[in-house]
Amino acid sequence: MRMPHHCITDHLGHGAPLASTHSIDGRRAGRSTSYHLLLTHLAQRSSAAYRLGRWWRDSCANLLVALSVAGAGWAGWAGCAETPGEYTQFDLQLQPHAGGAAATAPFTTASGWTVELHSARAALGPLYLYGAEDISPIAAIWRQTLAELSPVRTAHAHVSVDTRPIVGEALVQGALDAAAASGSDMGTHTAIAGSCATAELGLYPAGSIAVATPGDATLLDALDGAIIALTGVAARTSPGDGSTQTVPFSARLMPDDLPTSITKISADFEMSADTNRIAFRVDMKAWLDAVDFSTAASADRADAEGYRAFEIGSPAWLAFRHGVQSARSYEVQAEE
Amino acid sequence: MTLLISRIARIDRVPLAAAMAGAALALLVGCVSEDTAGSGSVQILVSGGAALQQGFPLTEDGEELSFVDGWEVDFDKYVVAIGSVEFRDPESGAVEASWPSTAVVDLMRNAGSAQVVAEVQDVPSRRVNVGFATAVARVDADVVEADAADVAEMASSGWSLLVEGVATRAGVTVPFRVGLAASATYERCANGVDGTLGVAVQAEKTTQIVLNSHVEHLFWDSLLSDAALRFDAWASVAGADGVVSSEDLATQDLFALRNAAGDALVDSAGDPVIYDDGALLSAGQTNLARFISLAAAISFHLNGEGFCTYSLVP
Repeated sequence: MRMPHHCITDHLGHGAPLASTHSIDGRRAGRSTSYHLLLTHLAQRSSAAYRLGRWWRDSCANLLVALSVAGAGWAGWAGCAETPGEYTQFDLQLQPHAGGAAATAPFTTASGWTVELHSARAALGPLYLYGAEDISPIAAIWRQTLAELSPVRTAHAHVSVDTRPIVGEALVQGALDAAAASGSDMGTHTAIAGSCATAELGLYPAGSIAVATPGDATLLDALDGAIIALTGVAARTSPGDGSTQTVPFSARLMPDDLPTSITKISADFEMSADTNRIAFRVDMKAWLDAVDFSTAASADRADAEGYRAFEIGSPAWLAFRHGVQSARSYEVQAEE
Repeated sequence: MTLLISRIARIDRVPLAAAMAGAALALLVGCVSEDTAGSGSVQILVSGGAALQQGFPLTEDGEELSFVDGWEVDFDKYVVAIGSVEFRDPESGAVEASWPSTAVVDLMRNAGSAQVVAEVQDVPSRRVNVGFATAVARVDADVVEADAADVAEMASSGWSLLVEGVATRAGVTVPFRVGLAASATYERCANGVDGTLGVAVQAEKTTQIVLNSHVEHLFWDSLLSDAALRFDAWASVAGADGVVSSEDLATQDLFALRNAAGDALVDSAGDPVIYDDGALLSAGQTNLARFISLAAAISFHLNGEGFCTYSLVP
């Protein structure tokens, strides 16, 4: 059967482009020094190499011109140390929040439920950062070819060709914990200075790839195979009779419930050639905005702690999964 | 490059400038036939493939396309509005040639075979990127190969696709007539024949491209991966006249799919039927009509299964 694997830029009226979808290439992720970053680096730093690559495919009538430009480019490369394209590093922080407020504080969802989270954990990462400008089609095909030959999953091991340059990647998994108000450290990673536009979040089984920090392992173990697990209580007052419905709930999403990546996450900032502090912000309110908590399991099926689960296929589970899959639930920002 | 350097080394007794010029000229002449040998024409065809001709289930290239819930589907009409075909320089993105018009074509005509909608002359004979668009049908479209009443209804309803057919299962027949707002632009299409990007236009010849609509997209239950074909969610919301319409599909909430009795829709194993849009639909749009519109909007491919970069048009 033909499988859906399309690169979609959506403009359905939400204001922001929506997520791309990619073919699932298996839940593999790996630690590697990405040759894609190297390619991007070369493309940005060395105009000579880039122009030489274009010349290779262009008309031979451009030969002398291309050689001249190449020579000038190489000369410029040798003397240009501070331009975009220079290798740099960034410190990545995983920051949970609820509509901009602390994730542990009560919040009201778009569907009118007041929610207080008791616990919220997630295994998030790797994180890939993409630049703003398209790379050349030839470079895109070359990148795809390399990715498909690669035994490890790097930023472009997709069937679809992403034509934007990779400017940074954190090939680790971080443990998100709503109780950690200041967020959690996802380590220091290599990047290329310049404009960043979007990010892609990888979703893999907890503990299946390198953890960002040793302390994360304990939190990830607590997920017991899930990628995301929440507990909390939601309440809503009926506008009719004024009665209040209260639902203690638990929600879990397993690896098979989710795609391997969420793309087109907003990441509009400049990666400087100096120190970068980057925050990966996760909005738990957005995860739950469309959930009708009354469709969680009935009270007589609550667990030992009284939590009513979002059962697979239920409206609550589907809306929760939709929120988790939405790129609008995430944002990558540079911090001062 | 190594070859060029070695050539220059062997002719070191010739003044360098002359050698460079000679080498460049030789290479230039050698490459002329590849990149600058005039122009050709490109014939644009549209097709719905064997699926429209034969319906589902269908075995194509050894691959069976069938509905997991046991329905069989046949088509009567499949009207698309398509055009704005552009051929662009792969490097600069400049438009080299185009067919800026629109065709409204019932792909069931011509016995479901591919139909020619236009031929573009004077396309540079080199590799070019291919792009095109689906759009709301217009009664004054440049090419109309469909019933005038259907085209008028599509135009007034804001539809770019109208599909009509019948599904059957165990003696139960459910007709459908669904119009969809499924406009999209398609760019940088891969060539389904050889996997390259775009198409190589032959000099002094006519090169054909086929814009293929993959009909099965309309029946997918996922826009991400491992999509199965389903019809139960359609059949459950058939109107009082027994026909499934766009309005009926809009009543099917993706977060709470229902069967005809109003109960949760489950499959033959008793598990809930799930449609996965990958959060491409915003929360207020999560109904089956919008899901199908999105699936249909990305249903065209170049020369078989060549993938494009899609941008949805509101």
